[in-house]
Amino acid sequence: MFEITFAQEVARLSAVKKAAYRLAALCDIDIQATPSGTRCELRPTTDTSGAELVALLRATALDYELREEIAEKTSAFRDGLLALAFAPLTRRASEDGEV
Amino acid sequence: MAKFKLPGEFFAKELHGYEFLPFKFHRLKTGRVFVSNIVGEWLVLDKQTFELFISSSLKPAAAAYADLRARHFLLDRDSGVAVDLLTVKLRQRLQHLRSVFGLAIFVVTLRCEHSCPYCQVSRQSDDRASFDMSTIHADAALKLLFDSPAQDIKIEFQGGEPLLNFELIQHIVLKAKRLSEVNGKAVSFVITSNLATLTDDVIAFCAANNILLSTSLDGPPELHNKNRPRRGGNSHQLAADGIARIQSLLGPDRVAALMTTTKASLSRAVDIIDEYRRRNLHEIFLRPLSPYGFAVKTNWFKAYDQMEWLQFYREGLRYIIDLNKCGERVIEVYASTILGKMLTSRPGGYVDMMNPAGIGSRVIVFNYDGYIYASDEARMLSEMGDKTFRLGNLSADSLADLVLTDPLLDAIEETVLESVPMCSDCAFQPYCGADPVYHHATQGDAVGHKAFSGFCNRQMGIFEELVELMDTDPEAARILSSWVRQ
Repeated sequence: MFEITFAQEVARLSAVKKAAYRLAALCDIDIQATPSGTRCELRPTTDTSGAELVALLRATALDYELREEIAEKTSAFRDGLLALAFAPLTRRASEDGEV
Repeated sequence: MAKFKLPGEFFAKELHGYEFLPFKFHRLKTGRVFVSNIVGEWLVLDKQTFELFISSSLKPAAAAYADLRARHFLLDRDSGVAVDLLTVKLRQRLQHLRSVFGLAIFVVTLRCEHSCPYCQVSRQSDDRASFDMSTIHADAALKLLFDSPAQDIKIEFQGGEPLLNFELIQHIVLKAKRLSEVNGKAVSFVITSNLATLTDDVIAFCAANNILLSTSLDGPPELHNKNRPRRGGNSHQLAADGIARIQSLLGPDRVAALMTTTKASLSRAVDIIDEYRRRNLHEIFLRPLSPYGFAVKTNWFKAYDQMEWLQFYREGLRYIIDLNKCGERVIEVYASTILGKMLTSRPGGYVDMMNPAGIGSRVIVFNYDGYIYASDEARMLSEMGDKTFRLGNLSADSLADLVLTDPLLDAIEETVLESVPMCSDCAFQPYCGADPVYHHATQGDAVGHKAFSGFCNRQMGIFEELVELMDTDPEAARILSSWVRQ
């Protein structure tokens, strides 16, 4: 068994969970929230070595953390774009400055 | 006071530096980083540029800055119309949601004189009563189709071997043409045939009614005949003769072929492509086995894994690109389909690659026995005993009954990629498809766990291959761009 702990400031729980999900074909991962952070216990299910899996989980979790940060920063744009894309094409009178 | 801000107010901010627009990223094996945005525009950045970009430290003078702005990854003081442009492109990318039944498959018979071990559905039988579609069912299907909102309908005849029920094909074509004139709808036709029973009458009818033919060609004679056995062992000869006759009598572009990859094909990518060139077929669809029907029963589906198929695909694709570099135009159809989604704002018409899934909406299948399915794969699944995606019956159900069934709507809703684990964060999502039937068949769940998904592994492998080719080989990039249909 191999383990790694992610401090909350480094990778939030949701990012670690997504990384574990992504690596599910390579290893089983137990995830525990502890006072020192998110602790992961890895059990390889393929030929990939434990050290490689730990490195892979670390890199994958950090990438998912970055994705979460980008999603947070851009969520207003994304929601606005989708709303506009699905909105009727006709403009409301108020948008043209008419009363 | 308005409840919502107007778009101009919503997006207006005093910008210092730049803001991110929504984007996703994927690290390539080359160490470079692929970034894509909500409308599928993309760039490949070196790692250092990517790090600068995401830390909001990229200077406007940097070479990548203008590209990132032009392709809507960042918003700065000079990005006045970025949001409007993104909205228009997003609308265009989602336009397929407005149309229905672009493809209607008529399984006019399940009978076939081939006995291919990888086939999904056919029967070797002379029992027309049990395995041929009736005229009553064909007429009901046409009524349903032309009563639907569909405006541009492609009718594809499949089997079994559809030419074994050629009388019904003639009936459907002539009636569909009459209905299209009355209803002001466009209709086109494709017959998918092994060409073993192709006659002059069939060719004449295809000529008179502008019908395309699509056939199977798995490679050189010994490979094709091994994959596609029939009494007499002459499947390849009949297919090759048929292709030549159609090209001669109807024109070189009136017949297309596709291949299925078996274990025996894996080491023969070049031979298979050369066989297509010998037959003057300049488009080839390098296609893996599907997890349905006899391919599962005979274990042919398990004869190789996705990594072996990807190796075969890469070898074939590289060979095809080399041919193009030497001046011979050959196209790999699957790559062309993906590139169409990567290089244009068009959604593409290939059902497996649609998001939300196109089953039961973009495609509908009228089976020989009167049952209606959400896709060709859905009826194949049904032949294995799983009726999950059977929508109804031509004798009993209305259009609303068919397209508003819970299993269909649930499968489409649950598999929208924006909300699927892994897919929701995937940079290749704008070019990918949901394919709920595949995941239902292989994992018993329409969404599926993508870490274990052969579909996902295959798609990711192809995306990475295409992106790396375009990123590292300018001539290959030019060739791949030329494959996108205008």
